[in-house]
Amino acid sequence: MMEQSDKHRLMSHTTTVAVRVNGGIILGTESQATMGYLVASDTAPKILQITDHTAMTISGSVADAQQLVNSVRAIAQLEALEKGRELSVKAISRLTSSILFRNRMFPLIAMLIVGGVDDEGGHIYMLDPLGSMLEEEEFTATGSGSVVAYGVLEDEYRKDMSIDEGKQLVMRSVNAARKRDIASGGSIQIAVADSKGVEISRESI
Amino acid sequence: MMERSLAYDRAITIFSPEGRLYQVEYALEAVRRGKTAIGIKAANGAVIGVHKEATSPLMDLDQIQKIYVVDKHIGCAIAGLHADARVLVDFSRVQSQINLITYGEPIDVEVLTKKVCDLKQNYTQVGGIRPFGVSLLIAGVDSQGPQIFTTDPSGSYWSWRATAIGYNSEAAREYLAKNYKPTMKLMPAAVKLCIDTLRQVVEEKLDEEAMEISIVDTDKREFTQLTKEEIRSVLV
Repeated sequence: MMEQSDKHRLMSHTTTVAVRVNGGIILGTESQATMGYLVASDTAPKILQITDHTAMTISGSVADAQQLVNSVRAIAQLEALEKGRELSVKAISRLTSSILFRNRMFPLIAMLIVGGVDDEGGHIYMLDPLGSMLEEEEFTATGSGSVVAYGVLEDEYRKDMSIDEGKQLVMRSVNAARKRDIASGGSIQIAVADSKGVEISRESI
Repeated sequence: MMERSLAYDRAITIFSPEGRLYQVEYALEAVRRGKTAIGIKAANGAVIGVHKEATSPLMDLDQIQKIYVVDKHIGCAIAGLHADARVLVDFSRVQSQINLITYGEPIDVEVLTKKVCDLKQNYTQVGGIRPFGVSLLIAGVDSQGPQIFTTDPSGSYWSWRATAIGYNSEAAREYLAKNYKPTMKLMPAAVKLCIDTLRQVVEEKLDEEAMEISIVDTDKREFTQLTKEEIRSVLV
């Protein structure tokens, strides 16, 4: 029998990937948004920046994810002003997970990966719609295309990859999902988070 | 004949023509009459010490607590009205736990100080209430290192390398200014300076029975009270 969280995972017609490399985190997604069998957009942004050094990939309901990100951004900004420094990746993840948990009676349909760099280095956290929060040491993927992306990641991931190597790996894994998963498509978006900040780009294939 | 100023200290929300809030100033007076508390920031931690005095020989001094643990890594000493202080300490403890649950991280000392001062400020502006007649001396260690803050009844706060609140605090601050070195280690240098300062402003013969000393270091980040033996070992 399928667990509830598995259903959510497959509900999100997306591929998102995060990889931890030496000195940073690479996030990657394709850019197709669907409404049933209609491709509503093939240039949908699925990586959203939260703070200077942290970004989030979204999947699931676009409305839920966008509203959630707006709230988290606002709270993170207020708290950064209060503290006089940016929130850590863990703090942002925890904040997001408690918002998700608070709404579990009427959940926000969003599978998220939070990735970024803080004083303690790069971190990846995976969040599900009910508010679970898991830290990933190497890589993770969500959405219907994740099974395809995982195949590439499991095969090619090495510890201590450089940022450039990591970027190539993320491109290959998202591209594989783009081709083989019916719900993934469009172009590829990549975010590189390192000590200098987050840079989001759209890659040509 | 009534003094002109008297009309302006009946309610706290009223400024005097000189722009002063008399009730807040009277609250500061309650702080000045409180027992002395000393706080010192060392290279590897922070220490706070307070003077304890029995108002009756029957009083059990060991059971009187003058330094409160707020969170694992933060504690505070108080000068002023004890009952008012308890309300603020309870508030601080709850705020620390809210931060821990929301962000999964222990609260920063300055963030906590600010929250306490927001509450205190509110009590100088809203009608029908009076300000807190207490100053807190907050010590802790966070990602920025050791921290010492003081708050006053108006809701202002300051960060210090070394400071004192309560009775004779001006004299204590003078003594600290002369003897403080930023490079000093927590044990025994900063603890010794803390005790020396207390003795300087209270009385020379103050022993370990009449003081309470707590420390927090940058390694363990645990706010702990020194035992009488530990205090004695520094005194020798």
